[in-house]
Amino acid sequence: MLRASVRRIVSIVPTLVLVVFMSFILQAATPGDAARIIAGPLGSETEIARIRDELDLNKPLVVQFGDYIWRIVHGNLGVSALTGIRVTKTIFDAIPVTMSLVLVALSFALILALTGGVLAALRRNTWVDRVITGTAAVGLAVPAFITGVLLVLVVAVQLRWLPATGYAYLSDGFWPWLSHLILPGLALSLVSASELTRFVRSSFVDTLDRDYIRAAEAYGLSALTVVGGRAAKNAAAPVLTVFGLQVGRLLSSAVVVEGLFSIPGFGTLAFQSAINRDIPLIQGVVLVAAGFVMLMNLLTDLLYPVLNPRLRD
Amino acid sequence: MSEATVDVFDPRRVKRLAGRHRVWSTFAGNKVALVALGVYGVFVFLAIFAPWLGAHPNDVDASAFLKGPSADHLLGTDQLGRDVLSRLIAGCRVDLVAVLEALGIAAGIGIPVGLFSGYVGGWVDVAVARVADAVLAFPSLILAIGIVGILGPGLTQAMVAVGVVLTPRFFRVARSCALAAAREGFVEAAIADGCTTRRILFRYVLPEASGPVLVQTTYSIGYVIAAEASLGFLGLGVRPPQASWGSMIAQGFAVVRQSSYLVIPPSLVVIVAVSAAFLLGDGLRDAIHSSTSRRQ
Repeated sequence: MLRASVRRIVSIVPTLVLVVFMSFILQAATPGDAARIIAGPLGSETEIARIRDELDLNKPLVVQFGDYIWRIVHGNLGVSALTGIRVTKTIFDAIPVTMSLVLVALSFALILALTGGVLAALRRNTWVDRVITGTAAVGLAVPAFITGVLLVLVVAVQLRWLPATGYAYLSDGFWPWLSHLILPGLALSLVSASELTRFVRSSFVDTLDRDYIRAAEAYGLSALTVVGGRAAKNAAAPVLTVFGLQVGRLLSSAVVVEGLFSIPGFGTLAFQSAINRDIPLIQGVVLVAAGFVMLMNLLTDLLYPVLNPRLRD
Repeated sequence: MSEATVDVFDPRRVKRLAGRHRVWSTFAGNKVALVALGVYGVFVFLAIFAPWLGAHPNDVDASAFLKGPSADHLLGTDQLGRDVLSRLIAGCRVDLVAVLEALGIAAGIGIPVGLFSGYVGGWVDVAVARVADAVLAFPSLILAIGIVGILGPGLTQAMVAVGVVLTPRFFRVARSCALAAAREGFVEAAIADGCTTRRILFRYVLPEASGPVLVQTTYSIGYVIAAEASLGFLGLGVRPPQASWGSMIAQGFAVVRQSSYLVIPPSLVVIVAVSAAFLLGDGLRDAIHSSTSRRQ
């Protein structure tokens, strides 16, 4: 198991190098003069020359890429063209906000999917099952920001139960923080909840048909013990895989959801960097997002054999 | 022997046509998928004939701002007095263009490269597959937004970005079909016959991939429409005053406290369009799957 894990960790290195290369290419692919765009419409010629020098734009691409890797290895992603603040600081200030949002969304997704999926599996081929699977099928097709718009419309504007937009930091208190995350979290969770529901359902249907579950039932163990104890343990590994794959999708949807709810997180940063054509920030955002997704995929892969003992060597 | 006579009696071609017939008859039995196909028929019709259907997306009716449905404006007007139905129909056209641009790039690059990579194998295949993996490592919308940031906002730039993001999906489908087909007898026969690689790929390997590629295309239409709506909502898609479903949702949301109605029509249209694409994809996948498993 250890050897397999090491092999898996090493195997991401070529992909990682390519990912870094692609984020580098973004700058090289900028139509026109990257230095002029970074300097902005008011940038003087000396300013442009300084930026060109700083980003090594006068040197051959190979040298530029070498320098780029060198800077990244040293944790230096450059400075934002707009604010002059270090890209790493800008990004790491925004990450806790998005983390809160994604954690709330994942909790919603997990709660909805476990309740829905287990219920549908236990009441297989009844109307309960059909309603749940039908809702999940539609839920897959509703982009998160549209769910968000409709939630704001009903819950915030019509019913006035929760704040419509904005964000409160955890230091402002637990309820203000949570109340600003419920609607965006729900909006963000729906697509993942739908996919997970289908998965939990089929995973449980498979497990419930197994002989040892039937044997446990025949011994007179209650349905709750069987589902909670035995079936859940066996259904956990495949569900975890799908769960791990949600991270990339959640980060993508978070961009639009954060824009909609005016949440100052990583997604808003991504969107503003694009609006402002802030090239160093765009590169940093794209690179950190990809690195994070790769890390989560790696952790999922490493955890899989822990949850599924049959895969240990 | 001329090529035409070979074609008519080519047993593989006959088998493929019979297979296609089976797929279609299974598909025709699936009511949900047929409805989804019908929905797309309507969207494409509206998109093509929008200018002749009396759609005037930018005409302002100064006597009606933020009005609900009426005889003059079947779906009401927005805050600038523009007809919502007209703008939705104009949005159909925008989305048709968007889908053609994005899928043109994704399929146009992904399919040929995938066929070649899977067919040739070896280090070429390993290298290209690594590149596809790297593109897939980026959260799709964040990469797309990054590319739009580099290219500047606009519908075409946005769809180039979405096309790039979708390319690995087409690559993977084409590649796995080519991997399987490369070991088939008819490909070996074509090699022995002295066919060029390009001819083998497009004449013998591509038809084998047509089913999975069609399914991938259908799902991707849903993805492109959702992505266009997202980017349009953020203001990275069409430039105002042009109407797109995403930008209409953004405009409606800006006045959500004055009118809770305006966001609803474009939101529903996007939901219908995306779910129809997914249901159509499910229907095609099931039809192709059941007909191939019956053949074996």
